[in-house]
Amino acid sequence: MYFERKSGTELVAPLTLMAIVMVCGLLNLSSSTATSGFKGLLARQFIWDMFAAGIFVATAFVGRRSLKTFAYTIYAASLLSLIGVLIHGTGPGDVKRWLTLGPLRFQPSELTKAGVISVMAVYLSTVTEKETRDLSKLLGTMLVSGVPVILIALEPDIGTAGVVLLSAGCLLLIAGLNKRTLLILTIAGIVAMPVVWKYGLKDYQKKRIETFLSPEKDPMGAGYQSIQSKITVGSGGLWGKGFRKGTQTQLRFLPEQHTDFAFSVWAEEWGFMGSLFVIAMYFFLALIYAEGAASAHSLDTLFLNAGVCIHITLHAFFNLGMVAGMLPVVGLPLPFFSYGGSTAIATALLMGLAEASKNVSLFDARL
Amino acid sequence: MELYSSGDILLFRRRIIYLTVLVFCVFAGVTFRFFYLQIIQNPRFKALSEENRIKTKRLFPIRGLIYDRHLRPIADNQPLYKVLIRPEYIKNEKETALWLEKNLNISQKDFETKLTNHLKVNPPFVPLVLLEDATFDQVSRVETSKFAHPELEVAVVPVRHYPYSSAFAHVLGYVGEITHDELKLYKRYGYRIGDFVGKAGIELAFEKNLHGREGALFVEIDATGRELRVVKEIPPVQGDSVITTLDLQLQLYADKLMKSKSGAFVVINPHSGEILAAGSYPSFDSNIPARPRLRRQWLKLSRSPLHPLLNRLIQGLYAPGSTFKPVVALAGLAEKIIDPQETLVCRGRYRIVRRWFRDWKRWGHGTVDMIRALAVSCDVYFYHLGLLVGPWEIFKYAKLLGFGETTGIEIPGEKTGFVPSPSWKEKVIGEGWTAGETAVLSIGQGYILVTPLQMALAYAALVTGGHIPHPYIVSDIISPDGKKIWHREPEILRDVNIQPDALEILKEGLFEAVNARNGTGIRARSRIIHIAGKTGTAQVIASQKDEKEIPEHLRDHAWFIGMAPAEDPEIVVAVIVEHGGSGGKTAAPIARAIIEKYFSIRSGESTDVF
Repeated sequence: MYFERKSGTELVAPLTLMAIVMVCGLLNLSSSTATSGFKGLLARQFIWDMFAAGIFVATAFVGRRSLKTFAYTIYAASLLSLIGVLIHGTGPGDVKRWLTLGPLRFQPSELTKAGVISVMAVYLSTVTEKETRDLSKLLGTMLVSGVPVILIALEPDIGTAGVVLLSAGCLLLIAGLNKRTLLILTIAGIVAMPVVWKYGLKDYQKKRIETFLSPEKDPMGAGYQSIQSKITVGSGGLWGKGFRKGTQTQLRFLPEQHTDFAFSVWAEEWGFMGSLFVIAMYFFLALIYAEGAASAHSLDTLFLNAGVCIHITLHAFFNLGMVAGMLPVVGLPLPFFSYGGSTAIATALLMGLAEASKNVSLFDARL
Repeated sequence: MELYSSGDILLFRRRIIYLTVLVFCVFAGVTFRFFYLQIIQNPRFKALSEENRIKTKRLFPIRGLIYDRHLRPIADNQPLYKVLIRPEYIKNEKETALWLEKNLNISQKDFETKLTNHLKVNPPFVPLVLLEDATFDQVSRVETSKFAHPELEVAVVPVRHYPYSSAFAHVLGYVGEITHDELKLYKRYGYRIGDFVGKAGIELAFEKNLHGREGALFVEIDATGRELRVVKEIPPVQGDSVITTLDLQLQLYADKLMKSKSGAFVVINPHSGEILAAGSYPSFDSNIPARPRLRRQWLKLSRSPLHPLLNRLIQGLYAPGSTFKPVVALAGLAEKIIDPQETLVCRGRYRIVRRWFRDWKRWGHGTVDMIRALAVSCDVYFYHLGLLVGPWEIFKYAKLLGFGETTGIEIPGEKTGFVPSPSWKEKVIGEGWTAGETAVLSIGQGYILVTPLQMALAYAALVTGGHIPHPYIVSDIISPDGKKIWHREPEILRDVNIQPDALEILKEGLFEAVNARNGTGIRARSRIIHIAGKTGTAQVIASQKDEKEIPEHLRDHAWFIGMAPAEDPEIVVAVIVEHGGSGGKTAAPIARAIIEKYFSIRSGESTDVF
């Protein structure tokens, strides 16, 4: 017999934050697609958002005991769909990123983010502090994160692969990866870098990184997005140009303005105040889960909450950094804000799992 | 599920603190970045975004027209068609290249190199100019295949057009694309690369009036360069038009006469200085330099050994020959050195020091007084007179009549010509002036060089009693809405004091030259109107041979300066035909025809324009 949390009052804060961001995202979508000729995106996104919110709530009530199974199921499903996407995927050019199922199109790599973090969290919670010094024990976690990372990199989607790897790495650090192991991994990474550069990266990816390092070199080519995004954001000023009045946006100077660059549209039309508002939402969301981790009574709760915190922080960092021209154009979405269902659902799933782990079973409680 | 001791949990929780610090740092960093971009750098990006969405398109002004004295346009504007291609809209490069080769005669290789070069230099969405000056046929080919080739586009800009092609070339000048040096000069008036500017003649002299002001179209564009809407339009301002003193009919008539020749002519009102017609030959189609399509022709013209671009009217320097004799006569009369009734027996030669100077007529003219000497153009008489008067007096009167000085006509590039003096010779050549040289100067040969316009103006002094008008072509400037904004009043350029009796003698001499038996200008004699005038033959080389035996390019230049009606001249006509032989034979009939035409136009008999 379990004692399970039934009230759900703890879900109010994250759900509110999620909803606020979603509303902002929908508003923004209606503006960014006003002149582009895309139709029906708004309705579709609304459905995705509702679905994501529903998944969050539903997952939050998953029984504590089924958590492990649930995590592994997500992981397995994402691995399978990743393999599927490599065989049957669609995308621009030779790139394979989406799996099309009837009218739906989803991105397995997004689900993988949830899968890897949840499985890592569940797995790491079984490893004791002393065992983290044992490389063979870590080998399991490396395998768990390494296989999907390689599969995603094959699509190729280096941005997503990178963020999955980084999330896993952060979790490992929290698990207590010792300094020697860290050193070895770092050195291995540095050694691998030129090899990856030469054989692992596609030309357009190399160009993106080069462009990031000096965007003004090629303002009309690959640096175009970065410069236009900076102009879009910077021209917003304190209060912005007004809803649907962003000249950069309405004139479509910015490619991908409703997906990865959605936030620059927001920043243009709502100004620094608007940017600050949404950034604050993500910050609070990240803090909620950092707090959840800090106050955790069990390791899986701790790792799952930390994982969500890391997931949100990394996405906010990479997406906003890209939009603000701080980082290369990596193509990471802003969960609940950018257009698309996969990211929203994956993030909601992860958040739900973190909430579910807080459900305390009486039998488990030894504290 | 394994659980940990509370000690373990505490250890992990400490790591969460690090994570929280990291979260703080990340969000603080991102926030600061947005603050930096949106607040601190906002002015810069705001300006950039303005630039981004607004494209300025130049609206070229229509150049002011040039009218003749009866307000008939002699220079107007025509559309110039350019064929452009927008590289972004090319669907199939190969197919486009093939189409271009087939229809517009642009070779595939040419097109490809042009396109790659264009894309290398220009940002996206800048159209590439394929044809700068498309023919009507090419334009219609592009227009009719707009559906299959949306990447092709026809743009229209106004270009100068001269309906009478070469007839006014040296008076009106021509326009062409602004050069680097001209740009420096005109920059402060708002001129830009790609502008057409006057390069010569009235077009150059009145460039700032004719040019007009460029307008601009501010078009909002999206990232594909697609034009969404016009934000603001500053319409171009048409240039002011100018009304000239030229007479279209007379000009075309004279042009026809001179066309096959080399030389110049000018018809001027001796009282006001209005130029009624003027030209320099060989001429050229003044439409050529403005048309990119005809660039090769233009290059050929500018390298032609016949120098068609030289404006012989004001830049051609010739010895005046016998047309200079009235100047010497004037010096003699004005300084009271000679009595015009005094006679001299001409035997065809004149001895100065130990050398014989020949008359153009081998056996001489017999007994001549001044009038007769002018009429038959007796060299011997003027050798004698010249020696009596002396080089300094000749120099003085030549200068007074405007030789060796510019006339101040609007057409730029005027040459001063040259009047020699003893002191000049000593200084420059280092030798003393000889009596022989005085004799040679007296018949208008030797060092002296004049322009046809100077010649006409000097004769105008004989008409007006010494008042030489300031010659001009543009009488009025009118704004595009038809208001007169400037009007030119005739003015006197120089005053020579000529006593009435001296004037009478000279006029009589010039009348006799055309109308008396044996007069050298007999071929200028008209049954319609009394013409007075003087022939001249400017030596190219000294030769005793009959002119037919001399190769054409070494033959003498033929002069005739005439005025009519002889009693009270309304016009002065100067004609020079290069290598035309004697003035009486070649130049006089042309001058007569022009004068007759003038009077038939004036009386309303002749109304034809061509």
